[in-house]
Amino acid sequence: MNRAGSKVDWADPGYFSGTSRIGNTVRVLVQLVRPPRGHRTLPTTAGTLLILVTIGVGTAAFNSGQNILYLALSMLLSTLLVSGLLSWMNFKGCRWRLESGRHFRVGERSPVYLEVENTKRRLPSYSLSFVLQAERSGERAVLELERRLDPGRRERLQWDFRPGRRGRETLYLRGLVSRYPFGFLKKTIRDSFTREVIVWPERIPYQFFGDKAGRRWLYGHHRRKGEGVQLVNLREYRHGDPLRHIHWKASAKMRRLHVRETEQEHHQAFALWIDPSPNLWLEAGQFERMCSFAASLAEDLYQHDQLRTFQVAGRDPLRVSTQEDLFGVLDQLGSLEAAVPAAGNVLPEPASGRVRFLPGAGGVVNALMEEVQVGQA
Amino acid sequence: MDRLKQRELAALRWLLGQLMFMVSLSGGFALDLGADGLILASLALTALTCVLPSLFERVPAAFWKYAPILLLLVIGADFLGSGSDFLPPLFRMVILLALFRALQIRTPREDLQQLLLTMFLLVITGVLSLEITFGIQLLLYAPLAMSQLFLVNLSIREDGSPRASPDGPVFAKANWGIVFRHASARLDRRTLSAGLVLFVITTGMALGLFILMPRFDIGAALPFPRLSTDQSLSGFSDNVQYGDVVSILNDDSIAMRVDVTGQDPPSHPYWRMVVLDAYYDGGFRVSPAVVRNQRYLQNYAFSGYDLNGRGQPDDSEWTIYLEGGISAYLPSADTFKTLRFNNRTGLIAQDLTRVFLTREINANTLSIRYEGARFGGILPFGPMDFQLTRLKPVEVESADPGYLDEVTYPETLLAYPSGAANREILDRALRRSGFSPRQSAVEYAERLVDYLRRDRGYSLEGRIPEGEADTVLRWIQSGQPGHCELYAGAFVLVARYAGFPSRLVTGFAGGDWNGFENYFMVRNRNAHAWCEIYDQDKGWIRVDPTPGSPGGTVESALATGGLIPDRTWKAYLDSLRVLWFRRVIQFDSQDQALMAESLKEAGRGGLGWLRERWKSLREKLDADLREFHIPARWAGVMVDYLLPLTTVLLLVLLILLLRRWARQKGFEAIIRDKAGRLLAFRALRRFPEDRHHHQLLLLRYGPVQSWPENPHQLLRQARKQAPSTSSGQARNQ
Repeated sequence: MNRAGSKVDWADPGYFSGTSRIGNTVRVLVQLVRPPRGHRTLPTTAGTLLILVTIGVGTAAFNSGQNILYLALSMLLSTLLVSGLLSWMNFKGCRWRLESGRHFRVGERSPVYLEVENTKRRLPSYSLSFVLQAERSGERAVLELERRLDPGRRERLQWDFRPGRRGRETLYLRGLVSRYPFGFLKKTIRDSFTREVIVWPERIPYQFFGDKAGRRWLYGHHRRKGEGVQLVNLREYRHGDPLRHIHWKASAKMRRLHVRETEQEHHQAFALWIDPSPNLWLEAGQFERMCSFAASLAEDLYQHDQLRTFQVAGRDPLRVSTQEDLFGVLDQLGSLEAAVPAAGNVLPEPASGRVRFLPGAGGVVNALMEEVQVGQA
Repeated sequence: MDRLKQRELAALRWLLGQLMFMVSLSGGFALDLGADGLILASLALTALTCVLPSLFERVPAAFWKYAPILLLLVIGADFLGSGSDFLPPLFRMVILLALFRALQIRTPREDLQQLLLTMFLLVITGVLSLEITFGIQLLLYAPLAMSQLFLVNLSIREDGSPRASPDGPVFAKANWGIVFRHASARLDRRTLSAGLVLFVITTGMALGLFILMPRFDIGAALPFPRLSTDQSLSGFSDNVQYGDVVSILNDDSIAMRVDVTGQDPPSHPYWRMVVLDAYYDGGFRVSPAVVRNQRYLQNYAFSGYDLNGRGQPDDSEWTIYLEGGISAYLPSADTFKTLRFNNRTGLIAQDLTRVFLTREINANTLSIRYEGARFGGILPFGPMDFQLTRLKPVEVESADPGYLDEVTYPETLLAYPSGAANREILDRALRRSGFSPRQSAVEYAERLVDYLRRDRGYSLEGRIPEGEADTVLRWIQSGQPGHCELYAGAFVLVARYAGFPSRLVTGFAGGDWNGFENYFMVRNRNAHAWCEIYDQDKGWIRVDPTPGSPGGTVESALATGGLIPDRTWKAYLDSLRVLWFRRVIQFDSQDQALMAESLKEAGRGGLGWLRERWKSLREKLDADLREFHIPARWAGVMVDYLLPLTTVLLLVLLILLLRRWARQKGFEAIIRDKAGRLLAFRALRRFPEDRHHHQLLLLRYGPVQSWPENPHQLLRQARKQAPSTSSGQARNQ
């Protein structure tokens, strides 16, 4: 059984995990007697009934010596045995993996994919069900393979997961279930696959007035080109461009003259600063609200090219210039816990453009910049 | 190509359910449970619903609402009306419940209920009938049930709920042609093949389990309900009138099969069934005294009366499969050591005449086994036989049964009819038969048989003239040919008049020898009547006065052509039944021990053979090595260690090479073969010579090196290409 966290890893029943054929055979035989951990085979209602009928027929056969009853008993027992064997064979050669998107946000649906492949050479697999569960939120889904899975074929099953809580979430494949072939036995492979994801805070409505602190709230504007040092773009040389703007390396590579375009130096953007100290956030709900507020604000500021840095007290500041940086911000907010910042890290002095979050009365969260309230959620 | 839709699965499930019901029901005809009409009606209704599923639409919904209540009332009334006889109403109840389910549109859960009911029905019919039809039914039922379970499993979700709700119009408008076409088109051939293999494995495993499953000592077995009937063949009851035995002589159906193990069985065994001691109203009957003295037993094995070891050796076993409805009286040998049944059985032993009968007439085949059975024609003395030496012939008014209150056993063995006309005939017979008071019973029996056979023949239609005397005595006087009952009756009366106690016996004599499985097929036409005469030195001597009674052993009779083995197709079919009884119904711990012993012997034989071969090889090698002047010590090492080691290494090497070769050759051959078949198929359907065609040609004829990386995938793609879409538009898979 493989426990995997990355996209490319597959999990399988672990029947043939070794490289030696003899070792695998021995393992399979041992597993038939003593199933490995997480593998369970339980009778279904029909199976229980069959077992009871078998016991009844067996009792009658042994007590009466009637060979017809012995014959019926043999047939019932062999059906049970073959059922167990086929149930095992149905799993054999199957492998599966969980795939999920990058974004999980509280209250929003995100697809989780379960890809299953039948690597058997000849026989198809039937009636496979996958029970997926999110550990923290307790959400559960049963994905059923309603069609036959031919040898060498893959199927992709989708679960629209809607997280209920922010934080680190573990998606479990709680069970791979099959009642194949006759529905007598429910064979389950438990806990065979886990995948850790970070659920971002919920997006909530808020108010933010950046211009209150003398900043212009630049709706619809993007990064401005100017005379700064931060590279924004490369473009072909045009007549009249200053020669010192020529990017010689790029020009040599592309065999045409290219010039640098740099960011306007005095571009006014915001820096978000989060203090997760528990003595500040006494109410868990307010802390959650702060995370949601910060995440929503960070996303919107980034959309409008107004987010410069993000920092959680006690951690290194994160410069936000690309989408991945924003995802990093949201990941940090997703996994943020109310905790005392690392020792020696002092609260910075209010700086230009730095937005802080503080609890307000009645469960609201206030955003302050240069000690001026600029927002609320 | 889409998979089968849920509605098509539901239709197939429904059809399988109907078939299972019909298969399980068909065995009911073998039972005499008064349900033949119900079975016929159920079969007809089920078949009708298969052909015309639209009938469902016409049944008002109210019917299905109130039908269960009605059904319960009918079943309850049936049980109440049947009294203590619970088997027939139980059987009818299961039929009715299964029929109710068969006529309904079923959910997967209800399909499982129906499967359980039909399985119950199947087991009931098998257990009560014990017929080979159960084996055939089981072989038909098992794949149907397994397919049904498979489809039910495909139709339910992980939590057990159905994937699709039952849809009435699916059946009402079901066009089986379309459903079958879809099913055959969408059925995965590999799954079908795997299903067949699965069925073979299941059956094989079941057989293995059946053979290996431990059988407890049969002495611990509980009595098992058996079906009884009120009907029996004439001639095998307490009261036999002239013509009763003869009336079934034209019946060619089989009455019993007799399986013989041991050596030298007689070619014409006499199976005693009823011994009639009292002469009454022109016929014979079992006297009330014999009935009063009978014992009631309940066991699985009964000791015979052969306490002096007169029986055959213990390995001689005669297994009789007596058909149902023949008689409560059991056919028995003259003497035997033990009589065994499969189960604890209620038995009646008439010790005075040494006859056994079951308490009821069995409605289906009863198998019994005699150990140490003997057919020598002499029965040892009975418990009251010592009184016979001082008894004289008794004249009785045989038309009045009241005489049996005064004349009781063993006096009944010397009773003859009163009346001058009767006495006159008996006197004449005595004179003509050469009776002398100094003659022993055996000597006089021979003379009497000669007299009765003299100038007479055998005829089933004896013409007996009218007169005052009793029928059988008039027949003696007439000199007309007659049948076994007349000969036996005449012998008994004349012998009694002469002072020799005698009695009439009915049963079976002889039989046809089945040439396929070597057993006696005793038919109803083998029914016979003969006599037993008492000899004060030997006991009861069998005498068969009917002309043409043969003797000898089976072996000698077959050698001389006296017994012609039956090798017709009817005999072959009959031998299958005996095989069924031998190998299945009678299979017990002794057979298991025998099989284990045979296997052990075979193993020992094989090992012995190998040991011998190894010994001779070793000796030869030793001799060869000595020729090369190799010291004996080194020669021993070479032969004992190096040679086996080298052989094993060579074998391993050979296996590895063969596997490698098979893998390469097998893969290549399979791909080429598949490509060839696909090309032929495409040519037949006039596919265009497109990209697939050229790639298939490459797979069929090209070098392996030029094949694509995954030839299986290419074959799959080519297979899925339909003729209409061959221009490149692939059909959905």
